[in-house]
Amino acid sequence: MSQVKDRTETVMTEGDAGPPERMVRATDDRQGGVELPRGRVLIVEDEFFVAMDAEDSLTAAGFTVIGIAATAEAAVSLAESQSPDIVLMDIRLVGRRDGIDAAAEIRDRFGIPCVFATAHSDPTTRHRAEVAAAPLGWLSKPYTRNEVTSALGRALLRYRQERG
Amino acid sequence: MTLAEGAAQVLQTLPEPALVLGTDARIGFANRAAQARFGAGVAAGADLTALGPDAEAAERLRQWLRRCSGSRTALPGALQLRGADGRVTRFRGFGAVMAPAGGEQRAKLLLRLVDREDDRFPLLGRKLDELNVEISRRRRAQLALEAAVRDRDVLLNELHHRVKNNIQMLVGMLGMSRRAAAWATDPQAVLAEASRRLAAVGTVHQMLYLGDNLRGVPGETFLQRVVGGVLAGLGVAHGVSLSADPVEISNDAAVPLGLVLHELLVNAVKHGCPDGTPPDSIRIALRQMPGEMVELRVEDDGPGFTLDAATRTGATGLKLVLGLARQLNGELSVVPGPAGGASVVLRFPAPAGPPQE
Repeated sequence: MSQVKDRTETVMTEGDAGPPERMVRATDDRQGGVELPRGRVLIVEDEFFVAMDAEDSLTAAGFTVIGIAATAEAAVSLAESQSPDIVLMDIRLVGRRDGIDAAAEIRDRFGIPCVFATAHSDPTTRHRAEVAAAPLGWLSKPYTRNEVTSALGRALLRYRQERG
Repeated sequence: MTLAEGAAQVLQTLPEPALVLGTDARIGFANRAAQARFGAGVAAGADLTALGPDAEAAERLRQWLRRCSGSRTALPGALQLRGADGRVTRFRGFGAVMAPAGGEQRAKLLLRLVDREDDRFPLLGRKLDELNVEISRRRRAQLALEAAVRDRDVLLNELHHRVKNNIQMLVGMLGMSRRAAAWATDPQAVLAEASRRLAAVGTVHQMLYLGDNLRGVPGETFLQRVVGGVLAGLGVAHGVSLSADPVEISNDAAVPLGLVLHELLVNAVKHGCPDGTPPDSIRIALRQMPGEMVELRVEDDGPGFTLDAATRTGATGLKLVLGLARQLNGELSVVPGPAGGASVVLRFPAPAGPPQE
């Protein structure tokens, strides 16, 4: 359940006086001191407001949003024509095909990885998504601006590290 | 007491009819229960087969007795015998050799008869039948309950999913207002607008969870509630004429459509109703169109506008409507109204079947 770890980090600090203090701080965009990379993102999301906010959050954090798709078909065609570095994919979409379907096709045909964003947390759906699309990360709805930018940053870092 | 006398006494104590007879079916001894049941029919020397209903039954009885004459353990058989009351009864018989043939002596058979129509057994049978009916009734009830629990789980999951999605949507909606406020001369107005949009979403949600229908809301109720809520929020006394075909607005479409209606109505009140406009100058209709399409039309008698011009000036409300129209997989158009104002039309697909997962 990476999205739980993603949300906050528990940090132990030892003061000179008194017992160690336990505090929680929001994640920042560094991973072990490494600045997370930025890249070109395709947003696949059928909720207009959610898509707009994700676009705004990502753009403000330095990503380039190459397009927003509301259906699986539109997602595949945008991925083909725009070649993004990564796809932010909602699982439940309008239309016949869902996000898992679209992510699997985009990964198989164009080698573009994805991060799933979903309010679905049932194990069956997760398992299906892991097997079909091997996502580089998970984002649980509702997510914050920080969570979406750091999830995509970490996914890109992992992708680049894995590919060398 | 000889052994034979002792055996006879034992037989007398049995509650069921018991006979000692030869393989030729000639009766040698009948206990009290047998005498009570068959009377003279089982007198010593009588032929048991004579108590059968017909010659065929008599022949079957003789064959069975011959089989029994070869067995030391009791062989079961089915018999029909006429009682002293003249009624033919079905018996279950158990026959076995009591004394084997020796010299000129035929084998002696012991035959015990159990009444298959004994009252105790049908009663038990009926009880068993009733129990079986009860068991299958309960099994059906259990299956129905299990299905109800599964349905409830599905609905609960669906509800959780919707809540999470809706919160994400509201976060996005507020994000949009935050961006608008950064440039606005009157941030208060932006906040007021955001709060009215939130109220519109709230109105739609109240409708979704009030009715028995879990798939959607009737178009007429939808128009009345959303329009009533928007007018109350604006605090204006405008009359709006509403008309709706009997269409159903699905749960998935209700929130975006409610927000579209909110924006178009606010726009019509702000820009489509110059001073002196008569009441009821705004007309809203929801129509069923061919090809499983639904049309929402908002008309006013104001100065009118075109989609191109409005999007160029960067009207936030209209951008929002265009985005929501895309979300509904629909198309937005603006045409001149019948009296010169604007007529904004949104057409979107609304399949009549059950909503997809």
